[in-house]
Amino acid sequence: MGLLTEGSPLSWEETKKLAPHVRQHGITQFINLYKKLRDREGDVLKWGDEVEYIIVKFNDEKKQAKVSLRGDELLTVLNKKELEDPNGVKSLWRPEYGAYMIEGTPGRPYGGLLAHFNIVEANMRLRRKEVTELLKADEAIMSITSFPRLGCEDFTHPPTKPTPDQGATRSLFFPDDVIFPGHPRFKTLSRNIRMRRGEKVAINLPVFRDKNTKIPIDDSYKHDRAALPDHVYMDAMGFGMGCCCLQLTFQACNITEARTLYDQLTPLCPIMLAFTAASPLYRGFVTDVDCRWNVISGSVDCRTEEERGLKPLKENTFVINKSRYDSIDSYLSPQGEKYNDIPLLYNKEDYQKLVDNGIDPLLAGHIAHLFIRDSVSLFSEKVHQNDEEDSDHFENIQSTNWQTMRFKPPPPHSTIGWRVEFRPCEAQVTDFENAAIVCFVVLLTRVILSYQLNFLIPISKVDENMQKAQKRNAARDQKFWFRRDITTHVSPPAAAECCRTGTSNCDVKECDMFGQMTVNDIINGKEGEFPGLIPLINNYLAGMDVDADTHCTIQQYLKFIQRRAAGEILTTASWIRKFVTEHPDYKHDSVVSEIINYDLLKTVKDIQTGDKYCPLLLGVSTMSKTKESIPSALSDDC
Amino acid sequence: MDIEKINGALEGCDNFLISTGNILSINDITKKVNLNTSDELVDAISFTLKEFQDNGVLQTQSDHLLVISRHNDNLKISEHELADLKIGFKVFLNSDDPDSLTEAIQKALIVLKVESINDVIVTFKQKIGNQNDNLNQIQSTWSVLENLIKKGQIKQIGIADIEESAFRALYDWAKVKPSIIQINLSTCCVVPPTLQSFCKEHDIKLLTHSDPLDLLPVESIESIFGTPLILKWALRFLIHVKCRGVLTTKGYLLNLVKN
Repeated sequence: MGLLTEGSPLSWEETKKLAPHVRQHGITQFINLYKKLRDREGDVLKWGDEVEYIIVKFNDEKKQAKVSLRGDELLTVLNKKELEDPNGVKSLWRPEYGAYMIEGTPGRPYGGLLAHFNIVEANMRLRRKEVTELLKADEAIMSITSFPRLGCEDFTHPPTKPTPDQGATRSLFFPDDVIFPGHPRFKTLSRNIRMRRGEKVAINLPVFRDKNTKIPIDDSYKHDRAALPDHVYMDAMGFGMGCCCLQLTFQACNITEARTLYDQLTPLCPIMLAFTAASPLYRGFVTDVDCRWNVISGSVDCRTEEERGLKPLKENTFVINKSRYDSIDSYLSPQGEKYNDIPLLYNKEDYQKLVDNGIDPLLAGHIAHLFIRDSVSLFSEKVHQNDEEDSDHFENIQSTNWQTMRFKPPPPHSTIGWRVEFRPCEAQVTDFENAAIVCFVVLLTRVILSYQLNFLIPISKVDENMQKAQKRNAARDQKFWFRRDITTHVSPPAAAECCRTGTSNCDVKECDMFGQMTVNDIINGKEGEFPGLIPLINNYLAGMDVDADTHCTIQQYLKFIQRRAAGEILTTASWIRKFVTEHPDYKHDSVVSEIINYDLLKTVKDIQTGDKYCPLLLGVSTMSKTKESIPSALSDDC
Repeated sequence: MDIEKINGALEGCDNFLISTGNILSINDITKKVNLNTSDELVDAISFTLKEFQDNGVLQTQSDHLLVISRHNDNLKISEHELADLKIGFKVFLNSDDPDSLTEAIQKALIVLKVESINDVIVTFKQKIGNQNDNLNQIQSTWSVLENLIKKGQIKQIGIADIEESAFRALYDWAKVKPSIIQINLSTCCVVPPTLQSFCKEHDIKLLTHSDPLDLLPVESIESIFGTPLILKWALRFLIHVKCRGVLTTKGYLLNLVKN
């Protein structure tokens, strides 16, 4: 997300009235962009990561850890640096939903040399340092996916109170004052999503049932009908959008490559979600899930009762199966078309308009599908636009379709090409881990393109995997649908047969194209069945010019990923679970007390700064050779 | 592998080339991921021989060398603008005979149908040790590379598996300085700091590789061909799309001779 332009948000009633306007012009804007940019060729690889952080305030005397609502204040300083030296800064900072959050990205994108992998971690460190310098002695910047006691009583500094009867959110737990105050977008989104839905959002996560867990776990169910007594109930956008993620975006050489990578990375989304699982604790409880995904999905679920299929359709057009934050519904490449086995909803006239303007059915379906969502945030200054020059209406809908993958057209009047964003990963504790994951995914894209690999499976199977991925210990225990033969140069007869009969009716066992694999099988390979992503990456690296330092760094990252996939070291979620359930203050009642929360976050902080050695989480060696810049002998290559 | 049939084809031919073409398009090699360079090469040769037999097209180059290659191979070069590609050779030499190096490079240029490439790295079957007199071994081959640079056929040259002192001696002696030093990755995490600073100071790329010193041991040759042929030289070509981190082509060219 770029620097947000400030403006005056319209009321929900006005926004609602303008929904057809946004849709009509948004689609026209996409058509205009497409016509100008579809033939854009020859873009090099550029890529970047985005890490979101939480500012935590510790009180060592009282053994408390709270979120510090200083995001806006910090951003004022950080953005000032950027305004003064837009091309020289090494990092860029953006607001996020929570007033306690900030998002950091590298100042400039990384490039297409392998040596760029060696500067990622150094840049992440620098970002952390940059913010730390602005913090008070009792504060820390932490890349944790969810704050364990978010929404518990007195979880913020300064203190805030929820306002269940008024304001944007009306949550029992999450005060409006915890929403980022520096830009109206965030509060507006919260209000509009609630108003569009017709009620508060409702998220119910199954509690982890320990031997002393009391059911009902609290009295939420007495206040809200939507609360399930044996679940952790959350009723605010902040519970989801207040989580931190690790995302990456890369530029493709043209639109075709972007569509290929969008598709090929889709089956990897659930695998990477399970692998990066880092958020088992919500609202002071140990839950039975390891990931944030469904929480965020529910936290922005603006569908009405009709759209959720609870009432017959009267006001609305569709019953919609997913929230606007969820996994993607269709592949975009011709290769992926036959695996699009879930119905794709769209307004026929939108689709037709796209097709009539020369956009192929796959892309037209995708764009039209994005536009089944109404705008939930509109600014008066942005209502009337020049569709030839602007793309705000398109971006309005595109940027509030929060899906596993995002297909991004070049912005108007820029040197940027077609891009793909990879969005499933949870934020890890250390820069080492985050850098390892980011490099792993970008390396995979290079391997996919070099060997022309094919990871596609029916999209319904990807959805199935997404749900499995979030279960407790999924990275170790679950088996995921995954493609067995990922080579493409010759199609074995079985595959051809399977495609002829149509994949949706295809008996998977018979055709043998897809199998059930563990994260370990997929990442490390399984003798005789699947080569493994890490061995494929190593094969690729053997054919590349890699400088010694970068080689060492990449090997450290790959070994870490290998070990975590093999279960030799724990996922962040499993490690957090273990820490909590083995804590002396833990009463086997699924409750994360203030003191457990404090000790956990202190420990996490010590691990992230390197003050504490944690082989259980990181393995024995986390010393990469990361550097701030690329050797000049190499930089000339690109 | 039908050894007799191959030997039949090779009869009367005591000097031939094997050209594996682009092995990235061989699924069986892609899937067998844990191969080391030698195993990969053995597989690539076997695959090439098999396809050659199945299609039985005899190809000869201008000097009437028999070229054993794969039918319908796609080197992928034509799919890109030549300017967008970075073509690199690594030549594995059995001796310091400069003609082998010349021959290897010229043959590879013919196979790839290009006139010039980006870089060449040479390596010898024996690691080049500490003594400066080892420099003699390199000098005659290095001169070949320097000439090719002068002719504009290569832009950068480098050497693999060489001790630091010998490398410094080469650097001092050479008219065209090495731009690349390649070291085996098993030792990469302990690169001598002096070598690192030397490379930094002189803008030399310090790269890693995972190739064994003896690329194709005699036993492997015997098991493929059923007869002890001599590997005069081997050349690996790698083609990348510049600035995109995409490897398009990887293959080997080998010159084998009968005793």
